Amino acid sequence: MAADQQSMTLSVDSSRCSGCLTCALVCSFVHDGAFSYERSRIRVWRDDNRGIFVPIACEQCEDAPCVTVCPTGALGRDGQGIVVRNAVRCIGCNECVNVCPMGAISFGPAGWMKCDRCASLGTSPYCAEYCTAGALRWIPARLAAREKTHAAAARWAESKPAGKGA
Amino acid sequence: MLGTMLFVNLTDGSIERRPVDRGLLRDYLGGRGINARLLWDLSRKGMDPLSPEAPLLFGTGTLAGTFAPNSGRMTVTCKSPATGLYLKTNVGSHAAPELRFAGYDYLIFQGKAPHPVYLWIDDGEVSLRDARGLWGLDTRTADRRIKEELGDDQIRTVLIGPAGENLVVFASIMASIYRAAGRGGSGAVMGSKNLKGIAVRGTGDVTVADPEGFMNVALAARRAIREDEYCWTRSFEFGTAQGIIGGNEAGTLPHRNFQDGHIADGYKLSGEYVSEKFAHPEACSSCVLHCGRFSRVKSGPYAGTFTAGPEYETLASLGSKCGTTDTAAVIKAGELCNILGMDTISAGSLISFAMECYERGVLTAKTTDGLDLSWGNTEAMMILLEKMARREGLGDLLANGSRAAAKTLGHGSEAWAIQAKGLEQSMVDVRGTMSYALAFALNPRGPDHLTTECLAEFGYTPEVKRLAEEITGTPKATDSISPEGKPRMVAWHEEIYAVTDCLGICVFTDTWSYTRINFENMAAMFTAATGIPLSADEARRIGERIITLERAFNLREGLTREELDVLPRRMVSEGSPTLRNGERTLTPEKLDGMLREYYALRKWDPKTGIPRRETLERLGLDSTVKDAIGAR
Repeated sequence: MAADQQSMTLSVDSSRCSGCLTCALVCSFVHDGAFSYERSRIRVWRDDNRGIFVPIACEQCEDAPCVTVCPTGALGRDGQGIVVRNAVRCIGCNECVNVCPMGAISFGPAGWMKCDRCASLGTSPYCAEYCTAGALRWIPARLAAREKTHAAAARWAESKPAGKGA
Repeated sequence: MLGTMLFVNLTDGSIERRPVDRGLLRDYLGGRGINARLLWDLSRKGMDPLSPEAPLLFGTGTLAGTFAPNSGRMTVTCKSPATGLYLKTNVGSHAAPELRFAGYDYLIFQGKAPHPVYLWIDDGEVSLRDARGLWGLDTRTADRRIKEELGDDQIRTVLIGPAGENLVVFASIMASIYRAAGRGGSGAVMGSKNLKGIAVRGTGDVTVADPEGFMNVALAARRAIREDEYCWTRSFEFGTAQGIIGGNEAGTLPHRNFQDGHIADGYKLSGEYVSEKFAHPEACSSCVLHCGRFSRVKSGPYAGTFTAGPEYETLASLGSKCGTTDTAAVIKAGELCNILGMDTISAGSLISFAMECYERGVLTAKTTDGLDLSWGNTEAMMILLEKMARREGLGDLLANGSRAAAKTLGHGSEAWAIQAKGLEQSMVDVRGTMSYALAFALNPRGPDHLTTECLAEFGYTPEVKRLAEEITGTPKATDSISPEGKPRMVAWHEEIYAVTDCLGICVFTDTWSYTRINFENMAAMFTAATGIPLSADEARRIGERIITLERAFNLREGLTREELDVLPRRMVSEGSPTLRNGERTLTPEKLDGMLREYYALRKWDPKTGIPRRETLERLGLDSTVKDAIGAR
């Protein structure tokens, strides 16, 4: 699966999230052996009133602010492009938590917590495998980009008539 | 793994914690089962359901909080103010997992608070807080206020609306605003205790005894349901309202208060139409099926409406049964029921009952506060829903349920109250389906499908047809007009439903996705989670124990089988013009025949319908049960 980690991506589409939270339950269990929202590396923010659910997980940013800001150089990238931490160097200063624009890093019950796309388990992400609604998918990165392009183009095209007309 | 039971005495504000008893869990599996036992032990014959002494129980499913498929549910149990009988009502959302993450598996409320309060559970910290400022608020507003007050918008709430406060006998308890423990008036019981709600934040763990074993069985079951194309696709795409078009074509979609079963333009109420125009899937905790909807109305007179739902029951009850196919109006009516805290099944039934009374001249503009209750008048429906929740004018009469309302109105209106034992029937025309007829009659809380839904009777796939024949031993099992094999069909479904409810799994998994959730994998998950050995056969026997104990509760009240095992009068005395040209497909004699065969199967006394002494002994029910119901 290691080769996949480079060419594949965890695609997150909040508009399809149904709020079942299976991702969080699976995540906490496969990583820590307990069911818990707090232990989950993927967080789902929920607005019960309006029926809106937003899953948030580390995007493994190309130019990752957490890596840049880390004062001890504890954060870096592994061979598969996953942002990882060197626990010995980490001083727990919380800078990475503060700087992450997604709020995807936290110090939780399992210490420093962040999605590693299940690379540490040697598998593809469990959350995507058990997401029923199609909000989380493990797909080729190229396909994810192309889907975005198509969706944007289709939105623009929708309002246009066929042909130039007269 | 074992959590805590929280005993809350609302009268003096004392809160006591007790560990869940391992023996109780072994004998009753959890949720619905443990609640049934607690209610039996904590109640006495003749207890007023709205008195301080009446207990109100919340029991989370034993697998709630895990990723076992569709496992995040909890059972609310009490004595029903609608029927004066046993009431269990089950609710999804994420309330049960949140409670378990906070460490509490059961909440037991007794007494009555001196003024409105709500229970705040913040992990280990539990307190009763003043809710005087919340009293009178709808569930949506109260949910927001509580989250503001406690400073956390990710808290889960379980609330009653104005209907519960005003002791409307079909008031529901609402989890996360829109998910209802709907039937039988548990919201009124909560209201009678001055308990506005429960707010919970759980940040702890739920663990299992055998993680690897649990993961193997639970994830295999999830995949099996997901791979059941027919079931999964229809559920995900269309929700429960996938059944509307078929019912309408078969002439069994309730129309004009069950006077017939077909409405023109019925497709506008279908899951296909609703999902295309208004709704997207929204799910309870760890759900695979995603039958839940969340709808929004963008234009027209009901623009701005948004709510979870509507499901099949709401679309039929507040739609076709009231003579309308105005989808947006039904969504609006559903929103009102949810935020006022009323059961959509009963609320719609009360409106259609009033409409039939209006049609037949028993209600007139003079007695309806000037409302024109003609079939399909959606504007009048909205006003009436508000009036019922606030007990104003005609609404006050209807808020007592259709049995009581008909008794007051008289003039033959009893025949138009589609209720039995005081509960309004859910939206199935049981004249066309004998398993449902028998199951509805036997249901201890009254005529509906959530104690036993025998979908297998319809034999909708070759696999389901085979299962139905296997359960009953007859190919007639899927001939829905024939009584043959139906008692066995009902008994099997009752047992699997009981076990499923105990575990907190959604009963739709075992009767849509037949065989993917079964006694074997449920027993295996229970054992892996709790460390308590359980076989499939033993699980089934416990299911039978629970069903028998629930019946015992009603027998202890002193009711006879003629009072208990009944259907709404219209179902057994009138044919439906759209079903086999009005043929009397269901008669009292036919029902009685099925009942007697069922008693024999259960080893209950064929004359009285009371479980025999040796049956109770075989099921391990103790002498307090035997003596209380006069078993021989």
